[in-house]
Amino acid sequence: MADTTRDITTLPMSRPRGILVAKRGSLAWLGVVPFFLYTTLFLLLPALWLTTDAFRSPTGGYTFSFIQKLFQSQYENAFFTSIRISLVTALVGGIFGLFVAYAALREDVPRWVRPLLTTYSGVAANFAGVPLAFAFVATLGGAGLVTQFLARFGLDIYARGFSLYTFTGLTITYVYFQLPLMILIIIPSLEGIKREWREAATNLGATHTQFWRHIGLPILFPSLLGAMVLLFGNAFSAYATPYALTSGSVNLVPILIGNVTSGEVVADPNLGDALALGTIVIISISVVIYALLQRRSDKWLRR
Amino acid sequence: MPGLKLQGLHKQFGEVVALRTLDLAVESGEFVSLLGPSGCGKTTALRIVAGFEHADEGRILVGDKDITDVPANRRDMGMVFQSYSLFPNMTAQQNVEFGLRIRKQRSAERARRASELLDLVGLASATGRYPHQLSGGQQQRVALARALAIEPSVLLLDEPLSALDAKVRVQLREEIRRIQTQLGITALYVTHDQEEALSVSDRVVVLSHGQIEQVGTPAEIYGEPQTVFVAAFIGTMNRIEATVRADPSGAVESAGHRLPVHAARNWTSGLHVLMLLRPEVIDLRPLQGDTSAGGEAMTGNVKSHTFLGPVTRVQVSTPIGDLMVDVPSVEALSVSIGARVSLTWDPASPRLIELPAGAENVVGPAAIIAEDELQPA
Repeated sequence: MADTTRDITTLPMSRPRGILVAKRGSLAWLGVVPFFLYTTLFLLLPALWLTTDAFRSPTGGYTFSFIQKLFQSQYENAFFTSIRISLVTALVGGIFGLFVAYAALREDVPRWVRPLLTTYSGVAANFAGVPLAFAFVATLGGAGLVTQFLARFGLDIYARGFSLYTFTGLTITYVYFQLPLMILIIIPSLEGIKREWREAATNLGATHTQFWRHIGLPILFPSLLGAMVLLFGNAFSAYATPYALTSGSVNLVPILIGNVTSGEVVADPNLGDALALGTIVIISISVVIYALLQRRSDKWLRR
Repeated sequence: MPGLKLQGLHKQFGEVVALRTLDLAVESGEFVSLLGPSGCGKTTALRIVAGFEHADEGRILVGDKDITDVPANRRDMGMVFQSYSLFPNMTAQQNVEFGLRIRKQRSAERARRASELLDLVGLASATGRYPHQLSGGQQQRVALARALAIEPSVLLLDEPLSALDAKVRVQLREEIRRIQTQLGITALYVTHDQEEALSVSDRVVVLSHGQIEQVGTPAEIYGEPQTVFVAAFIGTMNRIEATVRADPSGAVESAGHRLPVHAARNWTSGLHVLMLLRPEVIDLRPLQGDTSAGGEAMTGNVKSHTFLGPVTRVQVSTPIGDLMVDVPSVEALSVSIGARVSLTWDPASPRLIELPAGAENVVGPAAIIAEDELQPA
């Protein structure tokens, strides 16, 4: 068929001439200099530095001993626990965050709910570290407000095996900032699901579930995956929160790195570098998995 | 193919009345347009028929079956939306197949039907393309094929062309009409574009403020507007406020001038009316010098020209107000701005509409409403 739209837009006269179209002698590249300077100084160079240090012997020369140490049970266990808590809190925060965001965007929800939710999420997602730990101690700690309140009704959660200072307690604390972070990230993607798609699917006979299975979720999939990877990294790198809360009773990679580099117990900066390198590897693997999964789904996105 | 009946549909959003007891019967295989400015209730009516909104009162019937309480996904109505309604994660073919997939049809059967329909809308070669690889016009063709795939009882179209280029719009509307005729499907079409409605419909329903102003064939709507609103909304119309004169040959009076109108013979003298005169029925002749035309003609001075292609619309300032006159463009060259001209018309041409009492200031001595003034932005 004669395609008028295309014909007109491909005329050379109407081609857009944005300032970003690089021309010979253009100074447009100057705009990205700060970005590359920043990533080089604060991301690439440190990574390179700690990578070489992880293989450097304090007595001179190179060694694999620090990397080998990572496979000792204490360190291996720390990686395992860190991955576990990151996965669990990314999934719990991610899934519940998705549902909360979805519920808030429904058409029958009053308009004031959304700004309230995003403002709260903005605050809660950044409420971490020592203040968050103390907030949880004050509510769910042994003498915490909620603990005492429940005890008054005969439910002594600590007697039933709960403790804030364990993996479970830490998971609950992490979800406090993971869930709102998910809400913040996923709202724009959910808004991208057009009403017309839902109505067209309904019109063609689809139920609500069928719409989400065939259209909604496939479209959301890349953003969901990206959000989960971000949540995973966010949990993996948390330091102050678990430190203040458990003072080391839960074995996590960032806490170990803190221990060996601050030197209060055993100063071993090279081991710290090796642990950090391990972290980089784990995060890189999750990004690669993300990229591979994403590539399978985004055929329809490619321009 | 069954027909469609809307009986006493009433819908209110808070304080705003979107539909005021609307009654409409669409015959089997008929193409009916709902036409009106934005906010007239046409889209609400369509969405109620599709099941996306629920009427506060009234019933909807397809054939003899009452579907008022049938959920939207079981109504078997094909709908084409304004734009961007194709599922972006599916190819053109998968989009068309979607309704059949939901109906658990076998994949071979689905594929056969999809390619048949894509062929019907002239997109046989685009089956494997994703929506973003298609132009706006092509996307709407796929959307049409998708709506038809489920063999709907009624085809609903919600301003399907409004996001397209003018040229594609004209081409596609003719094709929608061709396909609708070919399949003999009952169609309800919503648009704010009068040209679109008049060119493709069997009947046009003009809506304003949730109420039907007039229902009729395109010729009736254009040639015999029944209300002031329709007269102003459809096409360009010279509207002259006048009083019926006691005159056996038929005439009205405006600003002290006698204007010949055959239709006035059937009206009571002294009645306050609006005389409606299309720009294309007025005959314009240049006058030499400052002479008066005499006889029945109205004299005036040319105020402005608007070139519209085959005709040029000339605005003439007359004692009864400014009048719009369409002159063949070749002749318009000889009437320069400021030129003195005479205007005449066949007394059988003007129509009269009774003005409600107290409506004096609604329309000026000779108000001219150009079509674009009434088009929603």
